[in-house]
Amino acid sequence: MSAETAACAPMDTRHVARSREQLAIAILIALAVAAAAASLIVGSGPFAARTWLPTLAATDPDMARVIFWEIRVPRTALALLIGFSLGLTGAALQGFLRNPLAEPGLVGASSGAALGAVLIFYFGLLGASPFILPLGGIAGALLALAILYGLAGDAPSVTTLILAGVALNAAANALTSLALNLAPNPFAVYEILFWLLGSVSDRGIEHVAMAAPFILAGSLAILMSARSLDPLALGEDVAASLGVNLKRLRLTVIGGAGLAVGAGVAVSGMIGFIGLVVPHLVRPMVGHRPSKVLLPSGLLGAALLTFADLAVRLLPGRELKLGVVTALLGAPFFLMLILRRRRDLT
Amino acid sequence: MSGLRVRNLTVDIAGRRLLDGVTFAVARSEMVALVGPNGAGKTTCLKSILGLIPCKAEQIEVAGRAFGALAPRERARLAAYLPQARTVAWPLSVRSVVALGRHPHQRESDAAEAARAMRSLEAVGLAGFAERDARTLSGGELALTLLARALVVEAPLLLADEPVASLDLAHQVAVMEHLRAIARAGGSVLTVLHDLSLAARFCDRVLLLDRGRIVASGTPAAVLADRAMDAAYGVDLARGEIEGVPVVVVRTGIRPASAA
Repeated sequence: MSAETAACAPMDTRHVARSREQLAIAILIALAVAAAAASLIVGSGPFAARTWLPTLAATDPDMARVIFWEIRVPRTALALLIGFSLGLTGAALQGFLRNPLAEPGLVGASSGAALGAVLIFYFGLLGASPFILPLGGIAGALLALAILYGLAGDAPSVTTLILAGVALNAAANALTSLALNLAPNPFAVYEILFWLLGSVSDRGIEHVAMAAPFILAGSLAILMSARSLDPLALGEDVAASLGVNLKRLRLTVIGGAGLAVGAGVAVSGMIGFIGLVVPHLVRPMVGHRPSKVLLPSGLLGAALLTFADLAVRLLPGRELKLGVVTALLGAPFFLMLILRRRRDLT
Repeated sequence: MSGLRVRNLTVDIAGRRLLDGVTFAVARSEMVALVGPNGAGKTTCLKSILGLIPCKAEQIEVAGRAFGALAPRERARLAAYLPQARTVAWPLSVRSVVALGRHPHQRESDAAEAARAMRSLEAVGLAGFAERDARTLSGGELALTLLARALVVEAPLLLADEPVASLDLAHQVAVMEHLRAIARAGGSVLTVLHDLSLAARFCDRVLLLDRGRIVASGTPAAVLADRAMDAAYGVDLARGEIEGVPVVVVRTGIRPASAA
């Protein structure tokens, strides 16, 4: 099925795509669909080393149904949703701050969200409402983004942005450590630490249900303000003189990023670097106009995170956490970006 | 009908009065220079007219319409702004930078937008640069590109803040000639200038701003002859005329600006 999707999609796109952008979007949708299909039918399981769903369906249809609906579907849906939100918010923050190094993880939004979620765990509020966890994450992410914007201002230099991100990450991590340090129950500590590493495995459909509305609302807010990001390339004054409502733009980008990242992190833990890497991969395809980078970044983020989650399942040995893998791959990319931009940094 | 009418414009920021009851008008087909020493309030004046900084005014009227009451996009279609800073955040092509000027207008097809951008680039003589990365341009080319970006807005009023700062002589004249062409085509241009000879050579009228007040206004010859110039700039000026254009030359900087 995955091979089929991948093979026929480019043919379909030839009819629709008139511009490079549409072609890129069609290819990226095909890629995400292929990733989702592969994620639904391939996996690791406790019974067989590699659980190939069609084979299992032939021998044990009930087990296959359970695995499909209760394990594969939520896992795939979360990988797609969270990958989409990370790619999209990365691109939106880069456009908004006019800085190609902005990213939910680097600017502290993810660790703020993690802190918010950890506090929910810590104070034992988890039972209060199914939405309390994403709300905690959203509150943390919004607070971090608001402080970042307050600290760095509009169009921060690379140095200011990174320093503000370092400070915010340090503060959020310190408070998270404090919560862990004071946690009465060592098992809770272990659980939180493991959750913090970032993963979409062992999540149920209820996790999808609690995160999806916020991720979709946040993403929609960002996508709707996409066009206003373009004139910002010439500075805030020019953008305002061209009719961009800066107050509303700040609200939708920061608010949308807070909603999407906060809810995502609350469910998956910390998954870094997708938001940094993806827009850079997308720009050679669609150009540098911030509005054109948004949707393709979301799509590529969804595809990449789903493929990464697939790789995690298929790698031999103990299953690695998704956040560990994205960090292992993303950090060298970040270093490369710095190397390339060294003249701007000095 | 005047292109811009400003009455009693006052700006207070952090307890400091930056503009104090500024009143002037720019007619259609007129190009007016706003001159004055650093810190006189020239940029503040442009920005407050555009609504970029809070201000109080009895009247700000652009093309006969009360500017403050309009929606941001309507305002943007009436007044184009060319700020002093020439920044382009991404490696965008020259043509797409220019096309950003169409933002306040009803969205057109990409082709129509590109065609307008090309016409604007042709007008400033940069048609050959359309596909160049704007961040690789020289200072003069970038200034002309951003001027084309302001032209493509097709607004009846253009507010330009030191459009010739840090440009060589040829580019200075090129920019000034384009601004004057806008005025001759029926537009209104208000431009901040530091070069008084350019103001005298290209502008119909000059406004002299000093510490937030307009202290002299009129034809270039009249304002440049006014002793208020010496006081505002804190220098002793020698005056003359070359080929019919009034010029001033600094004789000495003897008189320090009176402490305000």
